[in-house]
Amino acid sequence: MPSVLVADVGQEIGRRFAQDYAARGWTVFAAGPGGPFDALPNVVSVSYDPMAEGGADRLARQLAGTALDVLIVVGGAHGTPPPPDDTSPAVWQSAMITNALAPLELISRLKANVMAGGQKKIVAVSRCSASMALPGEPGDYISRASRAAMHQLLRCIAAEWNEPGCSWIPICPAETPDVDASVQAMRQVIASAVPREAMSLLSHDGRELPW
Amino acid sequence: MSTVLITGGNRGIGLELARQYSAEGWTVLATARQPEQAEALATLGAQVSIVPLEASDGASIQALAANLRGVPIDVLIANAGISGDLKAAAQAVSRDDFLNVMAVNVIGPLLLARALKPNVLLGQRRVVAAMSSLMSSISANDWGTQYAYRASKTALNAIWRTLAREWGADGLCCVLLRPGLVATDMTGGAGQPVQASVAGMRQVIEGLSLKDRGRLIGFDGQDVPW
Ligand SMILES: NC(=O)c1ccc[n+]([C@@H]2O[C@H](COP(=O)([O-])OP(=O)(O)OC[C@H]3O[C@@H](n4cnc5c(N)ncnc54)[C@H](OP(=O)(O)O)[C@@H]3O)[C@@H](O)[C@H]2O)c1
Repeated sequence: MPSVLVADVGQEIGRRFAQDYAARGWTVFAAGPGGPFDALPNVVSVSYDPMAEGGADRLARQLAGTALDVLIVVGGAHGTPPPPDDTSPAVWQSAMITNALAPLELISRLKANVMAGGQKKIVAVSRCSASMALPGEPGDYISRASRAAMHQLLRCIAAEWNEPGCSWIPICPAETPDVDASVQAMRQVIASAVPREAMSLLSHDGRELPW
Repeated sequence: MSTVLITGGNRGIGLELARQYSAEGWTVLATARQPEQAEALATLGAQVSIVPLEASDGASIQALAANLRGVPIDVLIANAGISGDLKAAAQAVSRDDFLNVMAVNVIGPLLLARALKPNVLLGQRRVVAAMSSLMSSISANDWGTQYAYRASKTALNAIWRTLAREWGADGLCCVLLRPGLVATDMTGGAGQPVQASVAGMRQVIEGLSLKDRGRLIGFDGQDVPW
């Protein structure tokens, strides 16, 4: 059975991805800061705190030698979300780390695992409102900026790896309360993804969105 | 007479902006981290005022705004910026460098624009510009590198797009500028002469109207793709 690592399962979308893949029999590495995540027998919990410096290195050590078919990185800070226009240092630094830099750290540390997998798919869950061409939410500076930064980082690391066999999939969940439906749609997009020369931002149902 | 505020006015593109605007008779408010050491700015004449600003520090930005309370600003140019570690590969991007670049290139401009919005509303032209870059373009990024710098300019674009949308109703034109590759300290002297880039950007600014808000416009008048 294929394997997937989902980080961070402390985020609702991450948790649903982990559950969904596990229910389909995949070996799931569920990474997050919130203690064991072992709802199903084929789920392996691995500890990972995106905010902690060196968190990605520790996770990579736990997974040394493990092939990953799919790597799914879900950003997002923990706790009650701040008001959208809060620009205090604690808020913007946490957003820039959890949404942009920590995904880069994790992907870069897990290259050997992804390259050892059969599918070589790298998925970064973003948000439609980070698309520059679409209207953003009023007052949404930091979250939007951090996700747009992540898109750019993903482009950079894809160029650095220059691995034609990899599929890079920045994808935006549906703007709906039905998280399960959104996750299932995204899982189908991931399943049918093939390596492409240029990476595109995708909607939950696989439509290309402008950067 | 019109007034322009330029951050990072003591050298590079900011200094040339100050030089050209003052030569055209504008009143120039040019910021420097260490005003007493801004010797080139000091030679530009009486219509150039040097004001202190550490662009990454909210308290410094608030102090600047308090200093300038009631002063109309026609054109605000958030120019100060740093490159950070341009050579780091993905695994070597450090948190300190990444956050420092974000503080100067992204959060500073946002805080500055918000703090000086009342001044720009008192001005006639109502332009709020930020110095972006071709490196901000995601679709044009085919060769990677420059992780923190590229991500910071993309993030800046995202913020300016939000500001442009929100502040358009107040008659403010928030735009992003691309200077091109310019021979300054940042590029180690590689690129076109700073005079040409700045002349081009001034022409772009001169021609702006509210319908241009949210655009990323090059010194050559061309839009940069997102
Ligand atoms: N040169 C290019 O080819 C190019 C291309 C695209 C975009 N840009 C952008 O254009 C802008 C100006 O670049 P440049 O080439 O003129 O760079 P530069 O020659 O290195 O000058 C940078 C300026 O920003 C100031 N600055 C840096 N950090 C600051 C801080 N924390 N607080 C306050 N001021 C600070 C510097 O002041 P100090 O002297 O105190 O350090 C200096 O005045 C930057 O935003 C850059 O990203 C440049």
